[in-house]
Parts: sequence; structure tokens; C-alpha cells
Amino acid sequence: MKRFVLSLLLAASGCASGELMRYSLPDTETDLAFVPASSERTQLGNGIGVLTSGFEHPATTTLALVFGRGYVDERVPGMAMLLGAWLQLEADTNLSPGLDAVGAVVSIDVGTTSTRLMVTVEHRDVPAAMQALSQLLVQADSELAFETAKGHQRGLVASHGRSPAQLARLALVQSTLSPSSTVFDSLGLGTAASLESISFAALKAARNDMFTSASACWLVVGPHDSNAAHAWAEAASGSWPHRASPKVVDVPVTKQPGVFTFVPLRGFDTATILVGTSVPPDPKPAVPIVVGAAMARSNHVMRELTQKTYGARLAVLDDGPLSLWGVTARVPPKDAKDAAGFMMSSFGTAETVTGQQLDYGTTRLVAAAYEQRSLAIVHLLRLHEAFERGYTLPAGAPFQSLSAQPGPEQVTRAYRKHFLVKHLHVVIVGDPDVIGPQLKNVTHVVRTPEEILGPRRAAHEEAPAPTSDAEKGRGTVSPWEAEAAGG
Amino acid sequence: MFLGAALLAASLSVPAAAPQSNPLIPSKRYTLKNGLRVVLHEDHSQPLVAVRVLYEVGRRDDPPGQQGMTHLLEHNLFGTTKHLEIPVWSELARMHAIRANASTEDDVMQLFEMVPPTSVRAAIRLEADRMGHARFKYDTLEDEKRIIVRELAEGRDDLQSGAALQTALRTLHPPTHPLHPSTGKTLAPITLDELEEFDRWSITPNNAILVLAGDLPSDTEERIEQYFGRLLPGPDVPEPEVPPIELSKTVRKEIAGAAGTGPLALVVWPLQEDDEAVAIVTNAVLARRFRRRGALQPSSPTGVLHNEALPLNFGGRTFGLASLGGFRAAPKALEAELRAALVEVIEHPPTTQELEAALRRRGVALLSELDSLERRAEFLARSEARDAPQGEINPTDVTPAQVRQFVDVQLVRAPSLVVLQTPPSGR
Repeated sequence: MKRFVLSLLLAASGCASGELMRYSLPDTETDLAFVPASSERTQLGNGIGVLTSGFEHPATTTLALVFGRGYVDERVPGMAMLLGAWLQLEADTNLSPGLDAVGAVVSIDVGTTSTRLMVTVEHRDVPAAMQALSQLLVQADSELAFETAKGHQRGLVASHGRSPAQLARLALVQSTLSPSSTVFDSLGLGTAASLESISFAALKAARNDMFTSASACWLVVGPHDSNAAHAWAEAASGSWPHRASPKVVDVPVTKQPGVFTFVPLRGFDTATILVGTSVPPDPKPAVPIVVGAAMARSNHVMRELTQKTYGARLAVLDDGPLSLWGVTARVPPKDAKDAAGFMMSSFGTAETVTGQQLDYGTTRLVAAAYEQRSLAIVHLLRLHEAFERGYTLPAGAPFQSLSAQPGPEQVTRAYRKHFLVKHLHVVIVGDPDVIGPQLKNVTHVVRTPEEILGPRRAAHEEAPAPTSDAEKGRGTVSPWEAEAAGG
Repeated sequence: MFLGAALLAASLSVPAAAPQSNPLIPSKRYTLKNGLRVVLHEDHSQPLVAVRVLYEVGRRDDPPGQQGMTHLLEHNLFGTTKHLEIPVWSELARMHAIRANASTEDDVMQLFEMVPPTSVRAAIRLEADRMGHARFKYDTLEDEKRIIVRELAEGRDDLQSGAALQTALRTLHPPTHPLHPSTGKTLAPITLDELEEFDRWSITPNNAILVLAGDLPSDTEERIEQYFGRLLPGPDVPEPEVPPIELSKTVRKEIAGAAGTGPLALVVWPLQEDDEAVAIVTNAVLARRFRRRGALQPSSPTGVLHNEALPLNFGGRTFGLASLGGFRAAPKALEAELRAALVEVIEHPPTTQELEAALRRRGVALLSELDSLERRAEFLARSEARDAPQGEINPTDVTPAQVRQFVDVQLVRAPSLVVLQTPPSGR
């Protein structure tokens, strides 16, 4: 309960305007680097990758089985998340005594382009945990768990339909992206109807398509060498036949003109405002700094000067192909229009970036590398990133360079390049009786929660089947099919 | 004993005389002449230092009718100081402090941040400065009152269970109780003089624990002495007497949830101090049972989304269960399922193996957090603060029979507070 109470009471971030100060920081004498433990990659004969990071935790190893398939690859909206929920239930119930025996709780994360099954166990239990994770995928076959998972997902769909934050996010995604984009339905939960249409057989077929050896990789973060990790991976999954997964054609993200959207939703003490835009994935650090600076400015205006909110928050809505950035705030409904104006102007006045806002922005960048509570998970996410994209940023960069690199000019350039007012989208979610009259003279569109939840992305084609020998692999039977056939 | 249980035991065993260092978090502990307790933990594997100052003042110290005083003080400690003309927030940003924040709990207030080693000196100076020389202004005080009211509103909107928790806290603690939730009304009468007086006795070296964990520069101790050593101790203030939570019969509250909330049942039982170890184990057993069996209820009318056995100390010494249901669920049915889970413990008490498995899960989860410097610093600060005599707590000694007895006598047959939250009927 304390966790809940804490959530209620924890202070938010804030920043204030610059004045002279008497303090000065000590000089930077050395360029201390955040050095992720070296990672090594090997590959099993059936194509499954093994990425090992020799991170020295005194007691536990964090490991994951990750597949390069997420909800952009699903054929029916909500399928990937349902698959994750089903496996989660299978893992939590008696199916996985192996995991329970080592005190492991599986955490399954279905993302835009990948799915990750992660556990933390004591060092000595790593082989057993890998075996149990592999078995979970192969042996999961409970229709009861499927029906239950479906019920859970339906509940979540209903719940998100009443969540201002989720509605604001979806409205922003839909006004930012083309409906033909693979990430248009970025919520990934699907709809009640799409979930209903999924049969148990279809779910298992989706598992066979998405989770194959060619799309899989083990991530091992602990004091183990890559030979040991490879051997454990071989024992756990070396018998999986090689099989590639079909891949859905990707639709590039393109900038759309800014839209002001109002979503009427009654019953909340606060109005939710989200201001953001899409930015092409950019390995340079200026974008998070720009957004950090904009957030600092929003926060300053709305918290310190007007007390309209407890704090404006950074909203990194998604990454990968979506790459949406924004600032969100909750304000009294009567202040919604004014607050939206403040937030827009905090993005649109790049030339007034102050030193302190820049400090705040750079700190956000550093925080992006460190803000996970568990360093093992930071390392694991780096490995995941390396698996998906072939590079990791920004934690590998020296700390001081990272925080000192961008100057006001660079940030201003990034502002002008990525955050044009004409591309800024604004979403307000809240009470129509109070907010509606405020928007009388503002050009805006009204979208109901039903309309936002309703659209489904346009159908997109499947990528051509792999043709090279390497892509084709050596077999066509997935491990679960082999298992069912007694293989 | 497996490592997870060993850590769990170590983390919860509290000798009356002095706290023990956990062997997995080696630390140096000492006390300055002014009474400031210092805990240093070195780990040079990453260029970060977690800085944490724990003050032994919390909501339980709030004056009657002025609930929220400690929280308000916490907010105002991010203003200016005698030697710092810009707000603390700005200085923290300049230090590239990440995860800089603060929390106010029932018994403690904590200020914390993580900084690169090159900012450790600045962080020590800043924390010493706001410990000894915080400056409060009328305008900031009034602003922060408004901001806290917004914060509380966000909390109510944020959480599925926010309104239910507020109701429970309000019901368990009468208006004069220090743990009665604060509101704009209780914050309004607090004056600048009263806040300064509250700061004078509570934000003092002898009421604080300073923890630095991570890549400590070699002159850390010297800097601590340089900046904190000059501060004068405050008065010795006895711990406040917090009236116990009393329920002579089961109390039921039915509330309408805010928009966006689902049906929820929350059941809370007051506990005796002696119950703590058994309660921890029961909590672990129920958490595991909920996860393993409770989730599989496709034909259940409640459509349970999430069951939770809540940690202890919910506004006092309590045990709680919560169930969040699908949108068609009846809150009463959710409550019935929670109570059925307790009856099941009586009818099918856990085996020794089940207790071990439950504790093992808990232990591994605790262990896995130890690579976080921030978590280590928090752990060390809390261990240091728990040196009040409260007996030995060792959950690994708890037997299945004790769990059964606890569930039967302290929960099933004891009065409880029930909060049933119904979602709004329409948008």
C-alpha cells in the first residue's frame, strides 16, 4: 500500500528561471565513462542468437528470450498482446514449475517490433531458467489460459478507453501518422471485436509465425562468459528447428500537419493535455534535449508561475519507427485552453532556450541512460537494442561528453529542424461542459473515445518470403509443431 | 538456506540495539559530533553516486488539523537557501542530477538524487545547505499549497485505486489523527512561522541519516565533515505517539469511482505489532497463490484483472487485499473472492515447500534490486532508521500453522474495513 501512497505523494520534476548563483560545480577532471560490460554475440546452429553481457551482480542474473516480432507483425489487431498475456498466464500457473522452483517471475513485454520474456534468478539457476523459458514457449497449450487472457485483454481495452492518458496518446498517434502506417494502432490492444474474432487455433498459429528460431535471441546479463551462456542456450533451445518468420512491410513515418484535437470525457478532476510531434529516429542527442528543455519551460510556466499543475511531464511516447515526442500535463479543466497555449509556446520559441533549460534537457538525456532502477535491466535493454537495431545509444557514450556535448546552437538547430509549430499536434481530453466553451474560437476537431478506439490501420502486405539460403534456413517446422509430433 | 531467503531474513531482522550492515551492501557507518548518521557504500563500477538524506519526520508528526505539514515542508525544501539564490531544483539540474525527488511517508521524509562523481561535492554542499539554511518565502509557501492540492487531485485521477485508498485512509484515521489525509483545508491554515518552526526541529543533523552510495570520490568524508560538520544539532524530540487503528466491527464504504476507474474491492485489517513476520509470509503466500491460481477464472462473473496482497503499513500497521475487476464485475463479488482466498488458506494451509517457494520469489525480487545504487542507498537509509527497538522479525522461522492461525484469527474472524468502488455508469 505504501507504494500506492507513495505514488500519490512523490514530487514531480520541476525547474525554474535563472538567476545568479553563488555555487559553482567542481571542474571536470576526467571523462568518466559509463562502460557497459562488454557484450559478446554467438549464434546457435538453428539461428538463435546469444548476447552475453558480463555484468557483475553479486547475486542475480537477468536474462531474456527476445523475438524480433511485435505488434506491427500481427495480422489481427490485438493478437501480439493477447499472445503475450496468454504466455504470461501459462508462466504464472502450474505449467512452469521450473520457473517457480527458482523463484522466477516472468515478465513479458510485447513491443512495437519485438517481444521479450524476461526473468531474474540467482546465478546458479540460469540454466534451469533458460530451460523453463524454452519449455514455456514449446509446451504452452492451455485453452483455459487463452480464454482468461482474452478476458483480461478485453478488460484492458475497456479500461484504456476510459483512460485520458491513453486516449490522448492514441489521438496523437492517429493525427500524426497515416492510417496505412504499421504503427497506426499503436496501442496494440486491439478492440473487443478483434479480440473476439481470435480463435485458440489462430493464436497458436500466430505463435508459430512470430516466435521462430530465426527471430530469437537470448540475452544474458550476469557474471558469465559467452561460452557458458552459449552452452546453456544450446541445451535449452538448440533443438528448435530453424525457421524464419514472415515480416510485415514497414511504412515509413512521415510528418503530418499539426491538428488540434479535443476528446470529450467526463468525470475527471483534471484535463489531460498532450503536445507533441513525430521525429524521425535520430541517433543524435539533440532531440531529447529539445524536449527536455521544452518540458522545463512548460513546467516553469505552469507549475512555478501559475500553479496550474503539479508538474508537466516528458512524454516519450514510442520509439523505433514511431518516435513520438511530447510533453504532457494535467490541469484543472477551466485552465485547459490556456495551458495548451503555454505548452505549445514552450516548443515553439526555440531561440529563448536558457542555460538552465539546457541543463535540464541534458539531464534528461543522461537520465535516459540511467533511470531504470536496476542496472542489470539497463544492460539488458542495451542488449535488446543491439539485437533489434544493431547499435546502442546513448549509454555507451562517455558520461561527461554525453552531458556536455550539445550547446544552445545545436539545440536551437534541432528545434528548427524537428519542432516546427505547424507540425505540433495538441490533444486535450476532459470535460466537454467546461472545456468545450473555451475552444469556441479555436480551430479544432472533436473525436469521441469511440472514434479514437475505432479506427484500425489499413491492411498492409506481408513481406516476400525469404529467398536466400541463410534466410530460408534448414527446416520449416517450428519447435511446438515438432513437440506436438513427438519430435 | 537459499540466498533469497537469507537476504530476506537479513533485511527484516532488526536487532534492538543497532542495525546490521547487510553483507551484500558493505558500508561504512559513523556519526558526526552533531548527531548526523552517515552511511557510505562504495561501488566504482559506474560513474554515479546516489545521495539520500532521510529525516525522521513524517506524516505522523503533522500537527492536528494541519495534516500535510511535513509534505508541505518537503516541497518547500526545493526553494532557495542562505547560500543558494536559485531554487534547489535548478541547482540539481545544473549538477546533472537524475531521479532527483523527495517523498513524505508516515514516519520519514527522504530527499534524494543521483549525480555524477564530479557533482558529489556540490550535492553534499546542497544537502547541508538545505538542512541548515533553507529559506522559506510566503509566496512559495502559498504556491506549494496549491501545487500539493493539484498533486492530490492527480493522484485521485491517476490510480485505479486512488479514491478507494483515500477513503480507506480517511475512515481508518479520524479527522484529528495525524495520518488523516491532508486536503486544501488542512494545508490552508499553515503559516510561514509554523513551517519555519517545524523545519527548525525536524530538519536537523541529529534527526537525519545521510547515505552516499556509488563511485565516491576519495575526499567524500572530508567534504561531509566540511559542510555538515558545521551544522548545529537540533533539539531532541521524542517520537510522537500515534494512536492505533481501531475497528470494533467491520465497516463498509461504497464509493463511486472516478471516470476511468474500474470496480474494485479493498479490504484492510488492523494488525498487532507481533503479527508482522507472519503477515509478511502470508502476504507472500497469497501473492503467489493469486498469481498461480487466482488468475485463471474465465467463467468468473467478476472477470478479475488483478488481485493483490498489499504490503504492510498502510497508514499504520495493517494488512490489505485488493481486487480490481473487469468492467462488468460487481465489487461485492470481488470482495467475496478475496475472502474465499483466505478461507482456502484455512482449508488448504500452505506446506513448508509452499512457504519456501513464496519466500524465495520475494527474496529473488529483493536481490535483483540490489544492483540499483538508488535502491541500495534507500535500503541502507531505512536499515539505519529502523534501530528503534521493535523486536526480531524473521519470516523464515514462520510455520504453515502460524500462517493458518493468522489468517483465521487476524483476518477471517476479525473486523475489517471494506471499500467497494463502483465505476461510473456512463461517460
